[in-house]
Amino acid sequence: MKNLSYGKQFLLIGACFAGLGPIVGGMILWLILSPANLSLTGGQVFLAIVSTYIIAFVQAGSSVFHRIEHWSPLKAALAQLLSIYAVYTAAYLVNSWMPLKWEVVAIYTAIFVLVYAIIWIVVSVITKSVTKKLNKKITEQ
Amino acid sequence: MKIITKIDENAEERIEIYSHKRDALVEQIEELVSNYGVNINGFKDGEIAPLNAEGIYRIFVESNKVFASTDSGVYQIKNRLYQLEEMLGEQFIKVNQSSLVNKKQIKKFSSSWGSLIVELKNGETDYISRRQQKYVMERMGIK
Repeated sequence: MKNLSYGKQFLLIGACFAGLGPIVGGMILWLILSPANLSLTGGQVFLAIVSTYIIAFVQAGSSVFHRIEHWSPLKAALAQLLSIYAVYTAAYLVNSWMPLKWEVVAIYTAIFVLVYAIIWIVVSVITKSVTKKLNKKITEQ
Repeated sequence: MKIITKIDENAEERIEIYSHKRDALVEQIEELVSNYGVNINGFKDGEIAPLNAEGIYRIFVESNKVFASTDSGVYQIKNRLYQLEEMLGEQFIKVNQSSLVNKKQIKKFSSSWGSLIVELKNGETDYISRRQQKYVMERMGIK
């Protein structure tokens, strides 16, 4: 993995995790909707499986942005946010999981960015704690 | 701690440490011994200069070339980064894929956008990659 280019790493990580995507998607669908209530056409199921596959592929593959060491953390985080947002939004709209209305997309976007920001705040707090421990060690030595 | 020094031209040269625990003194002796006499050739303006490991702040890769920053400037090094990592041993910490920093030259750590930054005594900064974070913590004595 270490010697692979970032593009190849993206494809490899994406492919590994994408294999699990449709399985997870299928389980959620099965748990939420009882089989008796399922009324999906073959085309809809196929589209949902392909979409879940692509979502999992990009979600996992985009972690490679944080390995590009000449990118700043902010740039890597924005690239990851944009790539995940783009693929989720496209999948939701194509599958009609979300109606194409600006107010719905706006609320969805706000929630998406908010959750991403919360995750980054948690990461930031953890990093600050690590920084504190490291500086304490320096003063001890 | 007792010190016993024996001068014997015919004996194998070695240092053994007996200690109740691994502490800062033990680590400092190990560092001193492992880096004693480690000199790396640095190239600058067509001249070669022997660089002592103690005086190097950071070793980094830029445009596929390896450089070392010291008080007397930045020198190019002909060795590969992984070779230097092996040669320099305990005193240097690999903070990301393309940098080694001298543990003794670390001034402080800081954080920015969820990323860890290391600041050296000469003012240089470098970031600690996520992959190296656990390793850096271990090397700094945090379990």
